[in-house]
Amino acid sequence: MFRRSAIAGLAVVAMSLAACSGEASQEQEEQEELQESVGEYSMEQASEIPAGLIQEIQDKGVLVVGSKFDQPLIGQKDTASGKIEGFDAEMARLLAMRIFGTVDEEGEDANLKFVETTSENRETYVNDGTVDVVIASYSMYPERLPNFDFAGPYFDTGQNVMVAADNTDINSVADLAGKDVCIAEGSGSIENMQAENPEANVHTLKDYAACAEALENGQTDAVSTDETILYGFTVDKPDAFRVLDSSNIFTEEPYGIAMPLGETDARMFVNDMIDEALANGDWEKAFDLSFGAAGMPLPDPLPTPNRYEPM
Amino acid sequence: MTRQQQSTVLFDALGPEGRKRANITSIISGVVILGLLGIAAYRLAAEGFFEASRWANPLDTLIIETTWIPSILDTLLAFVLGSIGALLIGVIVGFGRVSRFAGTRGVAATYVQFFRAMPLVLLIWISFTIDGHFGFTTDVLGWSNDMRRLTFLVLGLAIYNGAILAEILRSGFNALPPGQAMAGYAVGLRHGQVMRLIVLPQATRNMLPAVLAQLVILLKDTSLGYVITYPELLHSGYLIGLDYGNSFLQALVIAAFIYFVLAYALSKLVKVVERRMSRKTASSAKAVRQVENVATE
Amino acid sequence: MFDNFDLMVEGLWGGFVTTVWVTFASYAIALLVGATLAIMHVSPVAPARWAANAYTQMFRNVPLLAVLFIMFFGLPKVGISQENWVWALLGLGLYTGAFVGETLRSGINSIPLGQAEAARSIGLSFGQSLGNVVLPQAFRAVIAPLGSLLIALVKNSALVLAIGVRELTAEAQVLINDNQNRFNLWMVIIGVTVSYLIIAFAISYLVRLVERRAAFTR
Repeated sequence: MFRRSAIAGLAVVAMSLAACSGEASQEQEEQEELQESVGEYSMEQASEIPAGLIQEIQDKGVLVVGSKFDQPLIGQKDTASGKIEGFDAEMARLLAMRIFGTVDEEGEDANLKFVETTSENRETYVNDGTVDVVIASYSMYPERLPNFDFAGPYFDTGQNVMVAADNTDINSVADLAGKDVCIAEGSGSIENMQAENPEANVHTLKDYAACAEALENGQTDAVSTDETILYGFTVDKPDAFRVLDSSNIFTEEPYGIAMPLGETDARMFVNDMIDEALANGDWEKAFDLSFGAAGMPLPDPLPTPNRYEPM
Repeated sequence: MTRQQQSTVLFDALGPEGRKRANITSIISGVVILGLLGIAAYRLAAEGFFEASRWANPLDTLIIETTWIPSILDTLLAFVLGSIGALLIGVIVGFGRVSRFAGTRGVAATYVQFFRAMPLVLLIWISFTIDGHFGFTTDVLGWSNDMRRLTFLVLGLAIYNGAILAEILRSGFNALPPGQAMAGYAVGLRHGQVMRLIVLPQATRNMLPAVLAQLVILLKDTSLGYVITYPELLHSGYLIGLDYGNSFLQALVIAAFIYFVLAYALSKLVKVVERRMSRKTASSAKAVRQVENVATE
Repeated sequence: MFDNFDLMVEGLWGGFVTTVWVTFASYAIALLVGATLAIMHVSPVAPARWAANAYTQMFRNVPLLAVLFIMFFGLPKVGISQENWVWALLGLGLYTGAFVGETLRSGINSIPLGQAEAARSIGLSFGQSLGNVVLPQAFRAVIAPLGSLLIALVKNSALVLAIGVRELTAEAQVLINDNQNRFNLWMVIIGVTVSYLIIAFAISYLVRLVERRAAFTR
């Protein structure tokens, strides 16, 4: 009785599974084509490995990176290939190449491993050694510098505005006067918007996905938050939304790579890696693989690592 | 006494008039229930819930291979290890609960009282966090993250369900008529012998259904691994849903359905065992029910 | 070590209050759902029995967390959107309702058949024999298991942290992950475990009180 129903159940599952072939296969091909057109990274192993964190990573043979698994374009797990996609993940790959000379994410001998981190636990994970570094859209605000060593910024972003694709009368933050602007509940973006343009009618919904939905349905005029998040929505629906020109960005979100406090040598090593990537074109390749593929124009100027004095 | 009997006693064997009325009520209520389901289905269909592509995307062969199947295996792995651990702890603490020594009884009782009051999700997360704080498994043992997550999920499942299994064990002992043990002592058996030869065989039979029912709950509880991002089924369903925004609901429903199949199969096993037990000893049905009441979420 | 003690207590107290009210509000829903299910289970109307059975099987074999995820993340995709606390109450209530229904049913079944037979033989109807004879006795039999379900519900209420409700466990997470204030790990752990112990003991005490009352009226 039990065995029969169990087998029947499994058979039903197996059948429904076997029959399908969805977007994933197709996306896989697109991903490979994109990878091919962008080309390989040219990052080489550093000639000198500083003692401390980086030496430890090289000794144990694996770089463990805390990353988001659920942020499109930044760090998102591709459930078809198991790979982590996005700009943060590309930075992690470049760092692995800088330390080991190659990057290998598969099998037992992988030298790069991603650990899922959230905004709540990323600080804990750095402190307790669960991960070596955190690359998870983590802004290096001045008040955070006394808690961690931050390399970077490896990417500068900030709050921008997204409107419906067919909207032609909103082209700057000033144009939002008298318009409805949707922002997620509890988001710091609310205050930023009210400070930047007090005449905008800010209203809130549960999260940005809900705001995007409202924008698509014409229930609001604009959505405003970090530009990187806004472009995440244009990936799925490129014909529905338009993000305003990057010159409209009105806050500063300098994404940094966090490591335990006091690892100054490691921080400088990662800063060197970022400089090298900016110089040899790898940074641009990483951009083309993520934000660029979603239609974001290449930032100008490119970020410059902030080699601040140890705190 | 089965449920069928009770419910048929509560109303008369119906006469022709009554039967007609009951039939009409049945048909009406059937229509109402079907109607409600129909409205729900219609609303879902209007929102595109049944669109083929929304189901095909999360069920793509690549996703099945790289995400669904590994996560089913990870779920089962945590379930098997957690069950073994919980049974071990349950037996040890359960025997402690009925020990001859007051000290042992006290320790076991404290264990049960404490862990029965704690949410499992808190236990899993806190043990993981404390370990991270001291870096024991990472620095001293050099474990990988996958190993750590599995360990602390299993640990949480075992500690928590062990407390409940111990309670089931104890009430299994207590449900036995005390005369059984007394008779054992009367013929000159020692405590250990009484336990081994008289109490344990009978108690085991009484509590087996309750133990298995608790294991079904343990299987469902593996989903709490999400709190330390263990790659179990639900977490995978969530990530697939994020990956394919249009299939978010579908991906979660698929995950829930797989849990349903696994848990349903397991609970069918419980039913089979239950029936065997009650066939062997009709008189112990009440004891079985008494033990069952201990098992809760 | 005691620098932020007040701040910590404030945080945990907020979580404590949320846990308590979420628990009792969803328990009220669960009792309603469970009573309805139990009546459907023992009713002469076959489709009602099937529906109750299907409902119970569904919620017994699907993890609560999956139910909450489907409600909170999934249903908005088909146009059904609610605040997270609404889903928390509904999720906990509907889920626990299935178990309450089973408990009530086995409570009804634990009443000796002769009771129902006697009620029927003096001419009471289905409703009367259920309401006046079987249920009052069944109530006594189910107080203890219903109490266990309430304690289980306290623990299950921790899962609503996954949909962003700041109950006790979520509050403890926030405190420990707070890098600005750096709360002492052990203080937070002791605080949160003691809070849960207090709730569990208070409920067991309450259950025993009700049980004793009910026993006297026999």
